[in-house]
Amino acid sequence: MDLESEKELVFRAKTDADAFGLLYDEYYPKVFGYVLNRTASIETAKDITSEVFLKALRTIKRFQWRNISFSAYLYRIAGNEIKNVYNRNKQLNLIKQDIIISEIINDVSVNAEIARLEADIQKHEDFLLLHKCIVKLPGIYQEVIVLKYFEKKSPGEICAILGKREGTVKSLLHRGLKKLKKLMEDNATF
Amino acid sequence: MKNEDLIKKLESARLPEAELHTHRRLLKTALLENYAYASNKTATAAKRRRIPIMSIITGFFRSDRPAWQKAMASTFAVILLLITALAINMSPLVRDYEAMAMEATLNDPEVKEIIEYGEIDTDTLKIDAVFDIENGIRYFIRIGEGKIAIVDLSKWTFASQIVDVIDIETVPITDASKQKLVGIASTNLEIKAILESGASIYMYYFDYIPAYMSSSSFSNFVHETGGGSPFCVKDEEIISDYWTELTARFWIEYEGNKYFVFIDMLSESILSTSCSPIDQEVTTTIVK
Repeated sequence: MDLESEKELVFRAKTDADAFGLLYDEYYPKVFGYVLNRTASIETAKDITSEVFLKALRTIKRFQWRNISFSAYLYRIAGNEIKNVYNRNKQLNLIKQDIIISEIINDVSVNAEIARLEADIQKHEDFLLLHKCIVKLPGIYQEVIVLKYFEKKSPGEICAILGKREGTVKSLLHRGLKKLKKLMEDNATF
Repeated sequence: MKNEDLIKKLESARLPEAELHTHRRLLKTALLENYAYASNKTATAAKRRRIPIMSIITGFFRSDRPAWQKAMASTFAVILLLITALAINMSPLVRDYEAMAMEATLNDPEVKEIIEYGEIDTDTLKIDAVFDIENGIRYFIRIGEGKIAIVDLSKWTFASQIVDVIDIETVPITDASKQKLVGIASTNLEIKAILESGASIYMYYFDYIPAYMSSSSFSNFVHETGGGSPFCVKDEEIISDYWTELTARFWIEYEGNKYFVFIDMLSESILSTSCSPIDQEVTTTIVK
């Protein structure tokens, strides 16, 4: 979707549920994929993705278009939610209590799907070993590394998502890789 | 290990695309079914908050009650306010809360990292704003020039925890934002007349909160709670793309007077205006 059509869609989504649905269709896989790459847990990715879209829905009327893709806003919310869950040991209790999505979280068919996908993930040992080291890094380095190498985002997109200047992103990436390298060298599995 | 090897590992280790089809479908249905409720929740909450207290007060003073009752009520209210203000100022707990929030910030690993890499003097950390939230207090603590730590303190357990560390970036305020501000201010006929007579605005201030937080109970602090002032960034700057406008202020100089206009950006209405001679500090509220 080009930026102009997205702008129009976001504007419509402020008053039109169907337009919000189109935004959801466009970005659900991206948000889910990003959270999964950050957390390596289908269950957590499901909960955080639910929270991201619920927050997006609740703030869509206030969202101000600034020529940056709406996905950057969603990635930003996702990043903050991940931080809340992992860095602060804060559980997603609020989401689970939310009247809108509590039923989905407890849905039996969803749980069966989660179990199947969790089993699939366990087959990707390289990823899991790498992920084990990445999660030991401070949050900001995790974000920048996952966005760059797993999400294949361009430097401009990373700047938009993190709300940082290009120079800052480059130095974060440089420092993050250095730290990751050290962690991996210290880890006997690599 | 060489850098190239690490990058190769990273590039090849990505998980294949996985999707929870049932969750995707159910979540979409739930969101769309609740679209009207969820997307209007914040806006209506702001409106709802104003009604009860104001209607009780105005109802009381407009009623046919004897004048002595109204006078007594006013005196009692003033005394109560003074006692409350004194009690709050004298309470040692106020300072303790702040110290606890500051301690939680300084002990946070992410903040430690920021301080270490940014070579920030810990003495420069300061509380930028304090807000009432459900069951507690929320502190916004400024770390250097570019970060804010958000710390929540529970009223019941006195436990403090960092909720988030946010980046602050500055970008120019758009002309459209300024125009919107002038449009809202022009609903006041006096200000409209001043602007139409050629007076120019010489300073803008916008106050912001993070947009992603504007839907939560966090938005309850707005104006009524008096829990603290929100952020204020001068002139041609705002805080990041992801912050939403909360309040705005600007000044107009006209015929030896300085006019001040304070606007609520959530309800897009004027909160107050005041006027004072340019060379005097004391302001007189002319509209409220």
